[in-house]
Amino acid sequence: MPYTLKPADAYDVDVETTEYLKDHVDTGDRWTLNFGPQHPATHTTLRLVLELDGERVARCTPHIGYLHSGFEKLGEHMDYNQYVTVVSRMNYLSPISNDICWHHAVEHLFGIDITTRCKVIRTIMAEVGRIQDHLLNVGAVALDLGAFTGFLYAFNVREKIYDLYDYISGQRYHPDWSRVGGAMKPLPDDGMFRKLVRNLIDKEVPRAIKDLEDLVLRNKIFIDRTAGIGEMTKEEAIAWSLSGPVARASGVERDVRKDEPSLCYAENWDNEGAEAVKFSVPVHSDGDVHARFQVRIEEMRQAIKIIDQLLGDDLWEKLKDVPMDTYADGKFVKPKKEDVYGSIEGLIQHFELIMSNRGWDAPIAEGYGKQETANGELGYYIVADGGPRPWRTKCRPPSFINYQTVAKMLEGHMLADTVAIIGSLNVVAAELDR
Amino acid sequence: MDAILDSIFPLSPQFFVGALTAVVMVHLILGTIPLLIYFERKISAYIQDRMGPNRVGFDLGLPVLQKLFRGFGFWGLGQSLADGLKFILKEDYMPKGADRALFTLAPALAVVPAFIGWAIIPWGGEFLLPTIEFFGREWVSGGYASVMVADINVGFIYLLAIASLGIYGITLGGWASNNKYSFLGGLRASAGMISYEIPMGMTILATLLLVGSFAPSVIVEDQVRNGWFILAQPIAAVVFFACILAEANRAPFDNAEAEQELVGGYHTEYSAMRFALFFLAEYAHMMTSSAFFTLLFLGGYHVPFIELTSPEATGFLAVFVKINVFFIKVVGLVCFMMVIRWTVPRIRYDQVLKLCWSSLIPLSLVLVVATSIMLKLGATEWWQMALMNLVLLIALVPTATLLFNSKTVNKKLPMAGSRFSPLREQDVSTAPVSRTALDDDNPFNKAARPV
Repeated sequence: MPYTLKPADAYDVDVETTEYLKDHVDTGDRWTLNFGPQHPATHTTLRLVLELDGERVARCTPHIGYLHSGFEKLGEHMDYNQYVTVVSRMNYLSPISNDICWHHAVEHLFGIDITTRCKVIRTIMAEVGRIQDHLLNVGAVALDLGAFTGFLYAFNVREKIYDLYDYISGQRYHPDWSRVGGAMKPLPDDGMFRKLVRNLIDKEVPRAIKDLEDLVLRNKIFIDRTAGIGEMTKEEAIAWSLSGPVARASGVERDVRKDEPSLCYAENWDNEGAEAVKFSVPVHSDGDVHARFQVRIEEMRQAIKIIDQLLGDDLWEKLKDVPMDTYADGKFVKPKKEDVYGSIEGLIQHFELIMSNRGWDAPIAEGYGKQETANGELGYYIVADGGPRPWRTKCRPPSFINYQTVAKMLEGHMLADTVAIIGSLNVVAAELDR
Repeated sequence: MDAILDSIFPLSPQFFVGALTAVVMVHLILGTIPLLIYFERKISAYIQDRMGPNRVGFDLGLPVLQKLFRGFGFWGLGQSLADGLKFILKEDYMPKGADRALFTLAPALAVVPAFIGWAIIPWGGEFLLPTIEFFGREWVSGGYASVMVADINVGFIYLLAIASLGIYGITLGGWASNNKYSFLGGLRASAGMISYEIPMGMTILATLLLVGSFAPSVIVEDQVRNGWFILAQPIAAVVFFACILAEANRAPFDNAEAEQELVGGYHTEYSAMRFALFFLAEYAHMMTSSAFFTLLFLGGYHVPFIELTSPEATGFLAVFVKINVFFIKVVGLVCFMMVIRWTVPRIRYDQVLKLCWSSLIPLSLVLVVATSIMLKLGATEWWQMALMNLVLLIALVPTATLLFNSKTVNKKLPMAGSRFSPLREQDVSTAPVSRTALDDDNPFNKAARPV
């Protein structure tokens, strides 16, 4: 997109005195309601200035930036492994998806091909992250509409997912688990890991999904509150560059896992002719809050299906001797432990990578890596200058892109629909403001 | 002195029993409300796969009492006491610009109507009071008396009057807080509650047509003879229950305090004991409403096939059993309200009103007419009335579906000033305003556009 840069003093804008509601129509009976940033339904710190006609929203002005934390700038001061700790704080509903996506982008930039074992476990964990995110979101939509019980049904299962994170990484909430070319550490025990995941997808998650569906999905009140609210047509969804369940609920057949696959979603992912995992991408035509709810529920089912394919005995028998980390010649992957303790080169290389003031042999290049996370297309654009840290990291946060439509969806609906719309977009302010 | 005492005593049996009932029942109810709050926590916990309060006892964290209560968990029964103490110790905050007088008055106005409704509840039917005599004077003369505070003929008219008063506290509290969310909550409450008075009155009318009296004691006796009215008027019972949920501001009609939309609604700005009074009023209101439901549809103190609960039994034991029966029914209904609250989502404000005006009011009107016709025909047996209800339901459901299409409920209305749903004559452009982006001479644009 062509643009001209204006000199700094051209923006003669004083934030405090600027009139936001420029097209304000004074009909005499409108009043302004400040919705957030401290409000139970704005999930973190979203702020909407609503111009109300009775209870109907005539105009909505979203204000962002209340949770701006300089996450992107922090990326310029941390090396490629350290930054994962910040990335997972962006979308804290499914931190592991962010971890995997960040290192997917880094590996894409460095040209590292990760091992099959790592691919399998990352795929499983990415899908677990998707389930984790969707569980919270479908629960939160129910919560925003007053069904607190649905929220807790979904949240109970998240505890089990935390246990899984705890098992693989030692942290419950922010696993910060992936590393360049591999993971923080190998699995403690394959059998136990599979057992935990198996329990999750066979018992816990299907039960929660069924409970939630029974509770709200066919409830007349729930349908009345969600059907026809916040509609986006297919054309609009594409025009506003929506992604993820919000776009798919409007009928856009777009899923990064199918369109530009990586990990186990790609054909021949183990270089021995393995087939891509089989799953279907749920698409709904209504484009309203109810459609998004249904798409998310169905995506959880598909995630279970994907994980189920990756837990087979044959596959794990093959993976038995495959290491988690890639041991490349390059200077950005940690050497094997035997080499660290047994050879001086290995020790030096380990030292170089662990000490943050030491050098990484990163290329002088830039690249964009993306993956389909629960909210939509999450991507990282990295500019590397050859030093130990990226020169610039730019995140493409699905929350930010999806949140721009909130005014469009809301104007003309009731005040009570605000919460349904915000909830259905699954906006995470930490990711939105970064 | 004797002359003065002679002019007062002996008291009439009804006065004595009424005063005694008032004192006992007010304390009983005030003591039950913390228990109900505990029930609410426990019921919600069971519904939501949680434990609920199970630790808090009565030791208040004091070492002396801890020694005394060692080994007793009390199943978390001390939780409500701890909550109450917390309310007392919290800062009593009043926002800037609030109307001081009304802000203070509103919680009281919410509590009082919830309690004075109890006056006409016939807790234990008739009681044969023995003459009370000591110190050589007859203090209370013996005789029959109703175990209720005031045995008045206009019982249910009184109920309707009291129910309307309850909204004053909420509306004034919302207005006096000087907060837009509170104000919206107050507005919602007044519109909702006033609307729901109408079907409530209609269903009471439809039921009382069978009795021919407004007196609570007569209503119960009639149900003892002819069967509970929930059998004779099931539609009225359901509509009345929905109305009392709306009147008590309970989910799924709790739009006035919709937490996710209005933060706390009318009590957003309230804290400490002022908030506790609103909280108390909500539960008292639930109990009052449930008591009226019990009285009107569940046969009051009566249990079939138990002689002790029939109106003829007037002994002390009978009255004791009757009060217990009544209370169990009331608490059961309140628990049912709690189960509803933790199961269904909240109905939106406009849908609440739509439900009332386009479904409940016509339904209850038709019900009143149908009941009158049945009475004219002389068919007043409970099974005949139940049959009439069934026929009415079968006839009305398809008609209502045809008449009130709910597809239009969530329609997006174009509003003046909205950028995304402009009015017909409005011209709103969302095209880019930057010259550079629109410039045809710009090589980037030329390259991007298909020729």
